[in-house]
Amino acid sequence: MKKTRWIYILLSAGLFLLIALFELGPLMWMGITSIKPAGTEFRIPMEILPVEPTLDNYAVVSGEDFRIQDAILNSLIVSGSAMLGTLLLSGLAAFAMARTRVRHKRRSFFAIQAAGLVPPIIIIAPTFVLLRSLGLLGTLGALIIPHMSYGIPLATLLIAGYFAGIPLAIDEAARIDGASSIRIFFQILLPVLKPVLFSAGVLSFLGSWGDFMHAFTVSLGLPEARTVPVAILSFSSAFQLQWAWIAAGVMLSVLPVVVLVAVFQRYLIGGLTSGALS
Amino acid sequence: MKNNKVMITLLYFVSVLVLFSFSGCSQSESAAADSDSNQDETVTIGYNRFLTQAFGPGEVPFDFIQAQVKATHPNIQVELNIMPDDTAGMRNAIAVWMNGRDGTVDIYGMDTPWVTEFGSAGWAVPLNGELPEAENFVQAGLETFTYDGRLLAIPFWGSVTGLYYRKDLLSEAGFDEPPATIEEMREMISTVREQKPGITPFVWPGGKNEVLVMLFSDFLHAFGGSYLDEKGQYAFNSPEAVEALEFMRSLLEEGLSPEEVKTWNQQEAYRLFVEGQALFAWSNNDLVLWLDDQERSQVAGKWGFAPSPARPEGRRVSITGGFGFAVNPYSDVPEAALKVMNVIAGRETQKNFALAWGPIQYYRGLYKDPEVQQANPKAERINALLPYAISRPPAVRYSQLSSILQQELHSALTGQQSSLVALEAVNRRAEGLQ
Amino acid sequence: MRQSRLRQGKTYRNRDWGFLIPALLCLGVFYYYPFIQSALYSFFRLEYTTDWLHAPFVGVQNYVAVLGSYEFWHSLRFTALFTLGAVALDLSLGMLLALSAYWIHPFFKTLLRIIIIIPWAIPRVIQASIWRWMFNSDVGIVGTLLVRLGLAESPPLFLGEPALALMSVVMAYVWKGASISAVFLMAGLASVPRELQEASRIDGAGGLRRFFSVTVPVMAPTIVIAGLFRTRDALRVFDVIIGLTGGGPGMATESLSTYAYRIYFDFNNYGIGSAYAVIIFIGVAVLSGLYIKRFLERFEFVK
Repeated sequence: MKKTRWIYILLSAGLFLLIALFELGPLMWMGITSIKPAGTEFRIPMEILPVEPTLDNYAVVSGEDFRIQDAILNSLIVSGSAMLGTLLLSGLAAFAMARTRVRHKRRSFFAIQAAGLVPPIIIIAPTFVLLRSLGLLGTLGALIIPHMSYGIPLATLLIAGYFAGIPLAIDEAARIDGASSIRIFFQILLPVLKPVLFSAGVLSFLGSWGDFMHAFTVSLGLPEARTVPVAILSFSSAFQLQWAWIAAGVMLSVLPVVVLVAVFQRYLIGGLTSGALS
Repeated sequence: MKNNKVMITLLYFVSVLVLFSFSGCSQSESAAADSDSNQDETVTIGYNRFLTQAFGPGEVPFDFIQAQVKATHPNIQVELNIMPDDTAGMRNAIAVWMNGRDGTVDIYGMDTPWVTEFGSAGWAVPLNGELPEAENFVQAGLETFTYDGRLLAIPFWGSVTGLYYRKDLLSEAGFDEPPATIEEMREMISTVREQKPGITPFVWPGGKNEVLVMLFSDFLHAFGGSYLDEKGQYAFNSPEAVEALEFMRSLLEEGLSPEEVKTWNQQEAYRLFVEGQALFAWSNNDLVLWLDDQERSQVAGKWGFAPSPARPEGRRVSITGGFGFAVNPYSDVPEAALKVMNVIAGRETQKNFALAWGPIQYYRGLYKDPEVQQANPKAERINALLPYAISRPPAVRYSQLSSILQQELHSALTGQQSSLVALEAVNRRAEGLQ
Repeated sequence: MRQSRLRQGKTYRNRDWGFLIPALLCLGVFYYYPFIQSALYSFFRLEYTTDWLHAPFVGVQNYVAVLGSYEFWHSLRFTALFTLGAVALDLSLGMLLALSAYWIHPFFKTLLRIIIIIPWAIPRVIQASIWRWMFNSDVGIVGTLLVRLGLAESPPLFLGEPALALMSVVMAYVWKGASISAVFLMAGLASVPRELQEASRIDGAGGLRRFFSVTVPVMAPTIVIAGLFRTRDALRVFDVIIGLTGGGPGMATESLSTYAYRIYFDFNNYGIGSAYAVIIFIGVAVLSGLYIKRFLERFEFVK
C-alpha cells in the first residue's frame, strides 16, 4: 500500500516537472535572458547562464526612455474597464435572450455571434476614422470602448450557456412575487452567475490585454496611450533588437496576468462547464 | 424605488466610463484653446527613436531642432512623436494617418523609396517655392525627393551601400586594394582563408526584407543587368539577373557565407564583422559610425569601405538610401510647419546632422566645413562612393514591387525555387508597376 | 387579475428589450459599421485612399482578381495545412494536459492547473517574440540545446528553412493553443460523472480502455466544441507568423490573414484587401455557422 502511494507521488512529481518545463520553459528562458547584461546575449559561443547577472535591463525598461510601467498601468486600466463593460453588456444581453420574453431572440443571438467572426484587419481602418471623428485617438478611451465591444460575442455565448444550468424556477418565483426584470437580474441571478462572470471576465480581460493591432494603430505612437504589447515591440536600439531589454519587459508585463490567472483559475474552469460545453 | 436605484447606478457607471474616455480628448481641446489665445503653436515631428540619439560629436538632432526653432520662432513649440524603429512600421503608421486624415503629426520622415508612392497618393505637401533654404541644396539631393516636379521632402540624412573589408587581413595576405572584380574577391577570400581558416568570408543581410532588395540591385548591376530593358519594361528575368541571384546562392552553397544570412536583417548581418570574425561585409554606411569605437567594435582602425566588386562587363554601384522630412497635408498648423521645415533645411541644422549622424549631406559646401571634416574623417571614404550611387528599382507602387522581390528572391535563396523561376515570377507579378 | 398578468407580460417585452440594446449598439458601431464600410470598399478600386465616393466602381472585379491570384491559393493551402496540424496537436496535447491535471496527486493539482493556464495569459505578440528569441539561429536556446545534446552539428535554421519554419510556427502556436484546449477539456473532464468511471472499473476495464470507451464518448461534445474554437482561431492565425517568420522564408509561411494584412498595409490596396478579408470572413462564418445553429437548437430559449 505504502509502496504504491510513493510511486504515485513520485510519478506525479515527475509529470509535474515535465509539464512545468514545457509550459514555463520559454518564460524561464526569457527570465534568464533578462538578467544578462545587454549585448552579451548574442555572444558566441552562447552562455546559457549569465556570467555576470544584472538587473540593469529592468532599470532600462522602467527608465526614462521606455517606462514600461506606464504601459502596464495603461493596459490594466484599459483591460479592466473593458472587462467590466463587457460583462455588464453581455450579462444583460444574455439575460434578455435566455430569460425574458423579448422578440427576435434567435436573430439577436446570431447577430451577436456573427460579429465575433469578423477578421480584425477589416475593421481597423474604418474604426480609426470613426475614433478620429469622435476625437478619441491617442487616448485610452479609444481602446476601452472598442475592446468592450470586441469582448461581447464570446462573453454572451458563455453567460447565455450558463443560464441553461440555472433552474427557471428561480425566475418564476421572483416574477410571481411581482419583481421586475431588472430586479431579477441584478438581485437574484447575478450572485448565481458568479462563476461564469469570473471566467468570462478573465477571458475578456486577457483578450483586451493581448490586443496589438488595434492598440498600435490607435495609439498614434503617443506614450500615454501605449499598452503593453505595443510598448514591448518598440524596444530596440540603433544596433540591434535588444533582446535583453525585451526579455525584461516581457517578464515585468507577464507578472500581473500570471497573478490574475493564478487567483482565478478555479473559476475559469468552473465557469466554462454547463451550457456552452455540454 | 429599488429599480430607480439600479438604473441610477447603471447610468453612473456608464457615464463614468464615457467621461473617462473623453478625458484625454478634453485635455487636448483645452490645450488648443490656450494655444490660440497665446498664438503659440505646436508642430509635431514624427520620426523614430534615432532622432534622440547622436552617434558623433554633434548634438542630439531633435534637441538641436527644438533649440533652433525656439531661437528663430519663439512662439512655435516642437514636439517629437516617436514612431516604430523599422521603416515598414513607420510607413504603416503614416499610411493609417493619411487615410484617417489625421493631423497629429505635422512633419514626418520619408524614406527614399516612398517618394513615388506618396507623391502619387498626395501624402505630402509640395514644398516648391515654400522654403527659401531649399535654394542652397545640391540639385541631386532634392531630386531624390521630387515626384512629378513637386518637391516632397527635404533630405537630412543619406546613405550609400558598399563592401566593408578588413584592411589588416588583406594586407597580411598581400593585397593593398579592395577587390574591384568578383574574381579578385574570390581570390582574396581563398588566400586569407589559408592563413585564417576560421574567418567567415562574406556576411550580408539575406533576410526577407527591404535590404535584400538593395543587395540584389547591387549585384544585378555588378553582373551587367539593369532594372528596365530598352522598352522600359522590367528586366528582372534577364540572364544577367539570373546570374546575379545564382551568385548569391553560390555564396551559401560554397560556404563562403554562413547559412544564417538567410535570416539576417541589416543589423544582424554586420555583427560578425564588428566582432572581427568576418573578412567582408555588405552594408550601408551606418556602420561607419561606430566601427572605430573601441568599446563597441573589435575592428577599430582595421577596416575599409569601397563600392562592391563587379564583373568586368558589369558596373560597380552603390545603392542610395536616406530620409527627408515632409509635411503632412492634413496638418492643422501648415504655416508653422513650413517655418520649422525651413529651420530644418537651414545650414546649422544640416551641419548638426552631419556632425551627429554622418557625412552625406546635400547642403552645398557643407562637406568643406572644417568641423564637419573633423567629425567625419571617414567622409572621404564615404563620399568616394557617391559617384557610383544609383537608386532602387523604379516603380509607381514601390512597396508592392519590393514585397514581390523580397518574397521571390528569398524563396530562391532558401532553395524553394530556382533562380530562373523566381525572377520570371517577379517579372510576371510586377507587370504594370513601373 | 388576468388583465394585469397580460399587462405584465407586455411590460416585460417592452422594457426587457432595453437589455439587449446596449450590446447590439456597441456591436453595431464597432463591428458592423466598420465591416460594412470595408465590404463596401471591396467593390471599388481603392489604392492609397479609402475615399470610395470618388473612386471607380469595379463590381466584383476585386473578388475575381483575388480568387484568380496565385498568392490567394498558396496562402489558403498553407492556412488549411497549418490549421489541420495545429488543431490536431492542440487537442491531443490539451487532452494529455487535462488528463494529467485530473490524475495527478492532489498536492500538485492546483499548481499544475495554474501552470497549464499561464501560456494562455501571454499576449500573442509577446508569445511570438519569446519563440522568435528561442528559435534564433545563433544564440537561441533550442538550437543550442540540440547542439549540446549532440543531436545537431550546428543550430538549425528554424526560421530560415522552409520545412523547419513551418514546424517552428506550429510549435510556437501550439504551445499556447494546448493550454487553451486543456482548459476547455479540463472543464469537460470534470463533468464526466465519477460513477461511470467507477462502474467500468468494477467491470474490470483497464485504464486505457476505460478512457476510450467511457471518457471520450461522454466528453465528445466538449472535444467538438474545443476543436471548433481552435479551428476558428487557427484559420485566422496572424501574430505568431508575423512575429516569427514574417511569412517567410519566401512565401512558405504566408497565411490568409498575413497576406491580407500585407495587401492592406504594405500595398495600401484597400479594394483588393477588403475583398480578401470578406472572403476570409465568409469562410470562417460558414464553418462557425454550423456550430451556432447547433448551439441554438440545444439551448432552449424561454418561449
